[in-house]
Amino acid sequence: MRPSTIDKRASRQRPAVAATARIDMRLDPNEKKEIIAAAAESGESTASFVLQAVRNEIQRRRREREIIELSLRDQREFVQAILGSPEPNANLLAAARVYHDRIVRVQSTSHK
Amino acid sequence: MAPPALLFPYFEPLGKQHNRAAFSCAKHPSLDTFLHTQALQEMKRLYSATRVLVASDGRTIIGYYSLSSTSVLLDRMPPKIVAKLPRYPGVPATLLARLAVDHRYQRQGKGPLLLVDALLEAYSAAVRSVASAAVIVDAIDDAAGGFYQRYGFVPFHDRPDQLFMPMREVRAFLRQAKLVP
Repeated sequence: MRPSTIDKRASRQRPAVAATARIDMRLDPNEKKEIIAAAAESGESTASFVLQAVRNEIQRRRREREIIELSLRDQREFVQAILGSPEPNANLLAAARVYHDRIVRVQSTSHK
Repeated sequence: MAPPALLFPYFEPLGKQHNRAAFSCAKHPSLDTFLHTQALQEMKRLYSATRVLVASDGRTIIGYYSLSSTSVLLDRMPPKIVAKLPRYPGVPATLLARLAVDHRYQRQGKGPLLLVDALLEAYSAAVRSVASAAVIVDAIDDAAGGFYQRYGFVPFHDRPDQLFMPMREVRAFLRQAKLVP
């Protein structure tokens, strides 16, 4: 019996607990063929193959945001900089004067 | 008694009262989409914090920026240096991932104001509780990279789309500008 048949019967007998959603998208027909072939090759359904690829990409981006990896020379330079005592930038100081005169801070997130 | 008049524009955390849908930087759709659909979600999930510069109607968003925490992996530094680091191998830092000004307010010096507020916010958090050794920015294009460099950020050699400013420099700046004691 095909798995899809089981799924249909099960959902008819009792409503699914988790809600499902759809994404409809257009893509190049050749690209679609390629995706289906790649999914078949790894023995997965197209949907789970695509979903897994997207999940991996989301994970990768999240990791990239949470951990910044640097080259050796960038590590050296970064360490030197954070342990040093650099002078403030003149343009930044000029911007701060405008900020000081014109901007009101309300309900700072940091004090909530 | 009448409430004291609010001075505009002002900064506040992004909320439902702001007209997010109207915001457009007219250059990078991803910066608009983030504010339209993601920013409030990420705040709810405590994933990132977005603050907005609000116009006199109290609804219009002139510009926004988002902060989150990150860490810089320093896994190839000698022990002598490692001993001086606040944490190892991941040194905590603040990520300024997005900063954008609505196209109707561009070229009026709003970007630097957003940057000053972001540095103030990052430093306030660092001083209170969240350790942070530097502010790191993602530059979405060369113009953005140039902007951050003009205000003292240093680009990484091998990650040119990211720049940083040590938190010590942020503190020195805020003190000299009398924005913090």
